[in-house]
Amino acid sequence: MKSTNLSRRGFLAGGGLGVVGLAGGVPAEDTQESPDPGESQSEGPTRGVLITSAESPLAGAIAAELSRGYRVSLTAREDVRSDYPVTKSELNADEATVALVRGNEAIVHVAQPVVAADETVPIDDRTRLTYNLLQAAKQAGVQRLVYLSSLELLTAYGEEFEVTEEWRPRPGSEPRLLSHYLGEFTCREFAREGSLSVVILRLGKVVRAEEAAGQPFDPLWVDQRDVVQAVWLALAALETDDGRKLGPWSIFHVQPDSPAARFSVEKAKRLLGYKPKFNG
Amino acid sequence: MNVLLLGANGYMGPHVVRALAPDHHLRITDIQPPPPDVREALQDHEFRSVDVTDPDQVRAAAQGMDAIVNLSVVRRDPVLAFHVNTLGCYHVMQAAVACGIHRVINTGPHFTMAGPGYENWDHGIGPDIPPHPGTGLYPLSKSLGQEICRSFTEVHDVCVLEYLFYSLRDKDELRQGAGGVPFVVSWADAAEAFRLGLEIDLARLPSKCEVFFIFGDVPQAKFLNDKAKRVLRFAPKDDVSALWRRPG
Repeated sequence: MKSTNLSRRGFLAGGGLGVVGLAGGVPAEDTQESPDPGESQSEGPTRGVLITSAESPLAGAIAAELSRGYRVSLTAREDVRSDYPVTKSELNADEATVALVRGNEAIVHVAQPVVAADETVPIDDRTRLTYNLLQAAKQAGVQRLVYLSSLELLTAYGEEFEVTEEWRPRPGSEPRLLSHYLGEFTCREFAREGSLSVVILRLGKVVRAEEAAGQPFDPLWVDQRDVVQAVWLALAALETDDGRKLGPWSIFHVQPDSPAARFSVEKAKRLLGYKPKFNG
Repeated sequence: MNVLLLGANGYMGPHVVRALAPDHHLRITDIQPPPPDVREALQDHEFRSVDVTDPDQVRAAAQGMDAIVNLSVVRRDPVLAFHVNTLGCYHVMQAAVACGIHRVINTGPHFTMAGPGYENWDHGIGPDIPPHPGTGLYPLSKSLGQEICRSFTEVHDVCVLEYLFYSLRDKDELRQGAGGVPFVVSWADAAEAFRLGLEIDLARLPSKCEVFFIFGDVPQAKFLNDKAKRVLRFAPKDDVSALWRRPG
């Protein structure tokens, strides 16, 4: 078994160092190493990225970072205040959703379900609404999608295994987890038919290291700022890939780069250049 | 056996009811009421109004049953397709687990598994393939439902037989030279597959979730029905090959 106390201290120590110099989520040196999104900052970014689930703190953090290289807009199902344009949308199967996505080159689908008493809402949100969003993207000519999923799809495997992106998800029957799997499944079919290129980022439990201090260590923890970095890198990789390295469909696990973490991030390091800063 | 039929008043349901009624006690349900003559002819069986999108209704209908046959489907409505074809499967499996039902027969179109990525390319397509439904509303929403069924069988003591169909014909429509898709079965033979699915010893299934292509003996070998024959002992009686025989 891993030493949870030591791991926890390590996670927080890494976070403490990583906090220094952070601006909006991604360490400046990392973004400079990433493929240039190709925009002149003086002229302003022209490449549009739509971010869903603007209600979530993660979507806000992603928007803040991506705004350094993209023309960012968000969508939410509730009224949300933001520094960036937010369009309220139910993501229905209609022209309004096509209009919502039109003009964007990429979508970051945070896919955070609305809070509801009905336990099956996450299934409906991550299947039907993802389907509507991707059909709209297909109609509007959006070329790239980053979909945020969950590493909990793989926790049914024993901890003795080195579980990678190649392993089959085991969602079980609990609706929240099942919904992540079904959302991935939906995206995969669009990628398979060539409608758009998809990167799935399977996230651990998203926290901020300083806020996790004092809580029992969880080997699924991943710092929000590292997630933001992974999103940035995924978009950049999709832009420059031309199908050579990633192809139309790829999955990456997003965790700290640490033996204390439940899952390895070797693939993300190798293909995306992911360098998490909050490591145990 | 006590059998709950969901979506039983559609195209397939009446045929299945006729095949099962002599040997089983049926709880025949749908959101649509059955025709009066059907209710009159099946007085020994139960009729209920059940909406598969309502988990409480499905669970209540499953009480006291030994098996569930899910025939419910919505093909075009962009909301109901997901609520019936996808979430409906969740409600069915949830009810089966809650009520201790070990046998579920779920249904769908062939492209639940074999969408255009197979059908436009391959021959010899059997049901034991990774699902590639494509992005059509009907196939994808059904395929998501099938994935829900499969996931439940991995963590609960319940078996799912997934029956996939494509073209269904009355016997008198099987005319020589009429042609059609190479995945066709008569309604009577299709219904017989359900009787076999209720009879089969679940221990004989290769796994707790098995997909079967249900169609007659077509000559093209585009798709394969050998698994249904081998595992279910499905023996279609109506000659669908006539559809491609030259007149003369």
